[in-house]
Amino acid sequence: MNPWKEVASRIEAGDDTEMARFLATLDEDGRRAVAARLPGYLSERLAQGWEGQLWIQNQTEVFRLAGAACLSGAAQVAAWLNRRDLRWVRRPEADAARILALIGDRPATWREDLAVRLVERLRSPSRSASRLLDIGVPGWDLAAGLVLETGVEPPDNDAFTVGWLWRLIGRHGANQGTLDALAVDPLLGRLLPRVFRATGVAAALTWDLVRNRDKGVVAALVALAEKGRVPRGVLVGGCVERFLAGGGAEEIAPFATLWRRLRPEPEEIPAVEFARLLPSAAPPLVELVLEELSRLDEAGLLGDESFGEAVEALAFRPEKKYVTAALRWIAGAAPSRADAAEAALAAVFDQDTPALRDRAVRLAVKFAPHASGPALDAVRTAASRLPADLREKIAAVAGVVEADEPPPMTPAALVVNPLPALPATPGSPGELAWEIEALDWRTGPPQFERILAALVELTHRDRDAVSQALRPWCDKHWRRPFDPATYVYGISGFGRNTHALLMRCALAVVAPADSRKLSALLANYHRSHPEYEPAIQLLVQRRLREVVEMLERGRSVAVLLATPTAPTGHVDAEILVERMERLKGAEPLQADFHQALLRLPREIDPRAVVRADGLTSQAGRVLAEWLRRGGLPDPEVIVEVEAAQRPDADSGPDHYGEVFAEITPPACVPQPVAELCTGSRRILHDVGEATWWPAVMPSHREVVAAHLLETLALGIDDTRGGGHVLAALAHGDGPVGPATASALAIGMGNRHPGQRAAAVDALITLAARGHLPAGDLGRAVAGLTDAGLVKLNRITSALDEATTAGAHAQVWRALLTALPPLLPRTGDRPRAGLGELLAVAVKAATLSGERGDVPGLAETAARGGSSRLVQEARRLQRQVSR
Amino acid sequence: MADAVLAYSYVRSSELDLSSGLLDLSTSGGVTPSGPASHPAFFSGLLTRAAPAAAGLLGVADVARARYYDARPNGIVRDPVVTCNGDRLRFESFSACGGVYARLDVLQQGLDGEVVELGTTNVDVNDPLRRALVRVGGGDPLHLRVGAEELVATTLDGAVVEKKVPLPERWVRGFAEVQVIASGFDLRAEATGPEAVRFLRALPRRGVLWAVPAGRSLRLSARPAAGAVCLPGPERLATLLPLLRFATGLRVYGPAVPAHGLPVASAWELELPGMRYVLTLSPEARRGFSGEGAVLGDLATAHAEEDAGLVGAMLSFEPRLDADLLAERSGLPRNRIRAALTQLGTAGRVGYDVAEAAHFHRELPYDPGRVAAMNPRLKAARDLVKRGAVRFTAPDTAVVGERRVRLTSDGPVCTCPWYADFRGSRGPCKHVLAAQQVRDQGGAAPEGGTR
Repeated sequence: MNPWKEVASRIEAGDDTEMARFLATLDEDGRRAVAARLPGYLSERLAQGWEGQLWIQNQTEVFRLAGAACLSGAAQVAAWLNRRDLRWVRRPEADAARILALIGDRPATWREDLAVRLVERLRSPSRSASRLLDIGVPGWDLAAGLVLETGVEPPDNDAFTVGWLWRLIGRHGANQGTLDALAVDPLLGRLLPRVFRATGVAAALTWDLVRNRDKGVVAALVALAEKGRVPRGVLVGGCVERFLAGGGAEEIAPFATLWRRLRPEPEEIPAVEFARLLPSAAPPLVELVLEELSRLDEAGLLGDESFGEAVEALAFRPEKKYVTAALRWIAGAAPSRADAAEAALAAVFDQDTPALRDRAVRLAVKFAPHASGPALDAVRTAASRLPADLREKIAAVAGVVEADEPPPMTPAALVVNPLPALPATPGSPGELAWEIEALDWRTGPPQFERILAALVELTHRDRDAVSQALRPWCDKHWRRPFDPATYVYGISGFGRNTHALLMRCALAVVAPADSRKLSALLANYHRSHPEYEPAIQLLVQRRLREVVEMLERGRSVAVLLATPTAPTGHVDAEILVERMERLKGAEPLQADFHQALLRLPREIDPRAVVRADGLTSQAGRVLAEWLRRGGLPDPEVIVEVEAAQRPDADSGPDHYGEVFAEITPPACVPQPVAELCTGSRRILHDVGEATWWPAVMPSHREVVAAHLLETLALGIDDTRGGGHVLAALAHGDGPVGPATASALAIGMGNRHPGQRAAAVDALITLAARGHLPAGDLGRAVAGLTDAGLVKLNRITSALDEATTAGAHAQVWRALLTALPPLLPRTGDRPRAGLGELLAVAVKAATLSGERGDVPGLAETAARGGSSRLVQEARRLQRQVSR
Repeated sequence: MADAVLAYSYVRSSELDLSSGLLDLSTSGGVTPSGPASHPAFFSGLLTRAAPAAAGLLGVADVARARYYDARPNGIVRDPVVTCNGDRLRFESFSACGGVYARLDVLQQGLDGEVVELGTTNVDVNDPLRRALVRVGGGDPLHLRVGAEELVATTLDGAVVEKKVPLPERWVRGFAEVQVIASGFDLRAEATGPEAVRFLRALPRRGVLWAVPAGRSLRLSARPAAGAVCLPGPERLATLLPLLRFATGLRVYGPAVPAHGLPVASAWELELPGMRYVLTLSPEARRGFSGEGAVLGDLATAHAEEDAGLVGAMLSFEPRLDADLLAERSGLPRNRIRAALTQLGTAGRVGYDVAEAAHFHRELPYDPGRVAAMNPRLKAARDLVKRGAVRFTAPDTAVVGERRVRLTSDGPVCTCPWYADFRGSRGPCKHVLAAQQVRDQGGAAPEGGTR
């Protein structure tokens, strides 16, 4: 029978034992015949799409066997086994054993060649640690098996080392391995030195250290080194090499642990190298180096020069604890090290923390009598940037210090960074088509509104042209044949996602019948899966749904009313009246009309009021009345904060604390509008959708802020914390109060600097427009901090940025309100980070030149000690009571 | 198309002997004023500030092997490029991801020695050298040798270090084009040493942010504002951090904030004693510099190639190219000099120094034919014109193939998806280029027919 047919039937059967048996019986011709057909057969199956790929996944082993046995060149076999679709096998060790047996009869050089190629082509996969332990680096078992069988020198490929390490850990772990077994591992001698150079080994070592602890491979290697069965020099020297190669904390940490377990003798510690690692090393290594150099120092083996380099490097580290460590080390140094000490101390003079600076000055004074002239000169120069009192102390021991205090701080000018201008509206079906095609998650509301407006207007003018222009997009975007279930059940949140809704508007133009099917199924789905969305979000959705519905019925409308005429989302009153006139007495779309009412500016041109009287439709009369009354009266907004329970209390359901707003709607407004003003306390689950909100009520930003509060608080640790929503909100109009202030405070309390920066942008915008509710902001900062809802250090950094950017006066006024409740009462422990907040207060007060009475400040300033809090309190006290 | 392979060939490995204080950088094939040279020698003398120089070189080497959008190393390291401009040595590297360009300029104050020759080449950077560079410290000067003539003798023994790395076209193109992009930058913000330390240490890792000058330092903003500089993917500034201990100032450069508000490139320069270290970042971490299209406007002009030939012949590794002087000597007007420098930049023949606001001469040591090969988009545009695919239907509207182009006063627009994606922020698309070319040649009469 035809060998290929035999092989093909065994591939179909997927029986690897049977396949191996058959392949072993094939002669040269038979193999050649199989080799000729095999690759084509695989491509054919792959071309069948995901079903074919899935099938191949299940037959991977038999495919690999057939290729390894029949393809002729070593290069071909290596390529075959490394195909992306054939790389992953379920039982790699069994797979390797079978393939090794099958190729055992090939010539030695061929097998050496294959071994080298297989090692060279290994790639470390990005899999989680536990998977790597099971499967390892794909292809490693075969490559290693062949290396051992042929005795060839394996090429230096990191993945080979990583694979070896995972296998070693797997075999040795779980108490199965013995030291003896590890000591005789055939690859140990060759690969152990490579562990210290290879990238990607840290994950394996960390896994071993964390899971297997004292029973793991690392522990075993240390034990073997003690017994002299593994050369200790390889481990110690390897660690040093690794330390010098650099890398992040995770990369370096397991080697630091290994070093500690090896407990090198002081003589084995390379002092110069270690000292020079300090400036750029990752924290786990800094920790280790500090320990080891101290150990050397205690043994009297650390040279003065290395001591100097070490303390100077530590003094410049960004982490305060290392600066403190440097100071502690210097404090205990011999007078002979005065010069080195002075150089390091000079670096501490630039520190922000007064306690560190003070201590550095004290030490500099102490060492001055022993220091040389040049060293004192350096201290004098550095001291020039110190405050006057400290400068004098240095001058007393080192000679005259020129004051080089930073030039008096000059406040930055506050400027509003305007919102980007509105994008152009697509003017033709062609432009509309590519706008829709280009739509993605980044497309913001302004662009979106323009597309929607163009879609509606152009369809009204010439539906066929729009339909024709959109057809290519439609064919590409919506899977054919059209099956609504794909979207309804296949895409989470499809029925509610704003972008998906716009896509459906376009679909309704091109294929109304398909669109109707989709809408019906969605309606059905939503009946059984109701989701509770905030009222604002419902209005956004309703407005799009009514367009879909209209287009599905084959109808159209001349113009949408609510398309913004300003970047804030506002619709000019006169333009709105004009749009109503274009409807020629017909009733507008409901949600669109209500949205348009909400988008009216607060100041309405009287001419628009007069012109609106000419409108004849029912909606026209509502609009005229609305304009006459001056728009939506401001709803009342109250913010409430519920404190988080202290960790020591029984954690009940309210453990996390809450912030929410109560909104009281004004009387006599249409129902959908009133709904927006009641604050349903529903949380938006997709924060991204909040992008829409500022433009829903651009004249009532306090109401929008009220709706945002809970969503923002929920996303406080999220990169999508809604900072950009705040930034947009600040450009709107209307009163601002506790809700806006609380929203700002939560935004400034976000974990991510990018989000905080957006909140600072909002603060600056409000400040520059003279709209910042400073008192409310102060109360919000104090209240939310106290309730445990925001972290003080984040707020501090945000307020500092705002002060630098020119909002110093507003920040100072906010802090005037925030500080009294935050300052510690007599006898209480002050909260962490308060000193830094006071430092911002000093800066803001200095820049604004304002004075004021801060209740509780004098008491804090009068506390004993030299903590940052007390020092800054004293500075502030001096500043505001000049 | 399969990537070309670049083979470095060194007489021996670069070495740093700490006991004798000699940093011996080995050179590969490069260019000198007298033409190609296999192992040119450029400099021999002292690095007066050894510690910052060693740390700066490490930064350049780190960028060379970085892939910022995908942290998994792929083991491909392309060696840094060194240029001797007479009064300074420049070490350049370009990240493996194609999105970060690094350069260490060791200035006259940082050097004390003899310039053997001017020119450009690759220098070998290997792992032992990297580990040795970490160990440089203290105040002792270091003897630096970039290439050594007497070592040619070693070649006869066959002691040659060969390294082969793939050389993707987009990488080479990005390396060259980043210079042209940087030539559109202006100084936007400055900070003193301590302020720079504070600002750079507090940066977040990810995201696209904008740095706005505030007082004597900078602050981050989430949105572009007038005078802001884009900071796309701040983690890509990581190589600045180990240099902060030497920093005396930070200067930030970028283009004027664009109307579209999309992220743009920027340059971050750390001033060190006797040297400068500058990083140029692409507009997004996952986006390389090639294909930014900043160069297309100038390249598409009729005389560009010819003028570049003329200007190129006048270069002799000057540290600063004076555009006025070039104009005077070549007799070309300033705008054509600019276009010629753009052309030379894309060919890897000039670099741009933001600190000097001037081009400098250097010849990227990659196959010149490869670097100079025509920009693919420009080529596609010329093909469209040649095929007669451009038809003007109105003075500012053309049908180009199956797309429509409008050459409006606010900038050209096209109906192709590529334009929809980038809104001109990566330069014009091929359709716009083709339409512009036809119009410039006077073929824009409606229906009049470049057919």
